[in-house]
Amino acid sequence: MDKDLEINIVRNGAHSVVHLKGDVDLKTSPELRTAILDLLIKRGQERVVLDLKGVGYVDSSGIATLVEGLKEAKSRKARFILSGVGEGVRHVLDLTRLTSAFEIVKTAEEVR
Amino acid sequence: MAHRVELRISSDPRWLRMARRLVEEFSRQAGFDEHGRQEIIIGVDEALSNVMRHAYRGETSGPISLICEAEDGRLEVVLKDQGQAFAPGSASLDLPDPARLSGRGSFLIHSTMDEVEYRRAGEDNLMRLRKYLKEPAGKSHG
Repeated sequence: MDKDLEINIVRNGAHSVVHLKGDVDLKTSPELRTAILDLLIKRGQERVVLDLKGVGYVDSSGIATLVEGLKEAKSRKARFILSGVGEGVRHVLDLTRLTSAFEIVKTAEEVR
Repeated sequence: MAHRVELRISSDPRWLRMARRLVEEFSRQAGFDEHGRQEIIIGVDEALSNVMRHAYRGETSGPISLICEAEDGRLEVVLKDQGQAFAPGSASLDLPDPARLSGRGSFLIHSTMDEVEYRRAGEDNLMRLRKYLKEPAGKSHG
């Protein structure tokens, strides 16, 4: 069955890239939250890049998940980075005035 | 000519994606550009999520009607549910502190739609969301 949100995690030592495909909404954000917190808390990742290239829509519960990931990363002195932010996601980040709160890069590959 | 579509779903978040797609196509047919369509999708999706989360408190079998109407440059979406009554004033319309996790849903509804009305009619909650192809006088973004 087609999943509403596909989450694929590529780990390389203490660095992870979380590739997403689908929408992040009330239905799917709990699964994303679990994945992000697992990487930061259980696996102690120092850098997590959330690749949003395949995401067309993020609602306020998805925004809450991103904010929680950022807070958790900061409290552990880890980096939480957004990449591939498309127009739909940017629109919600701009409306909620959170665009400048995140480190945003064009592609996950360019993160150093 | 007026257009009308009604979607009846249960309060299960699995239907949110379908509702967004319906609203996108309906607003496209009503003449809204991509920016306007995105705003309508955000406003309706957040209102629908609020019904599922707050009116039905996460219970997934509550009935919800989503009625879209368009006429003369005006798009109206009515959400009807039989969940708990919404207490006016319980949801802040202000944007919360950037570090806060929740509290952005109502702000998003009001910042994307031109008019938002709520009323309780008997056992029903009725939320009416409107957007105009041309913004009414006095409405400005800033």
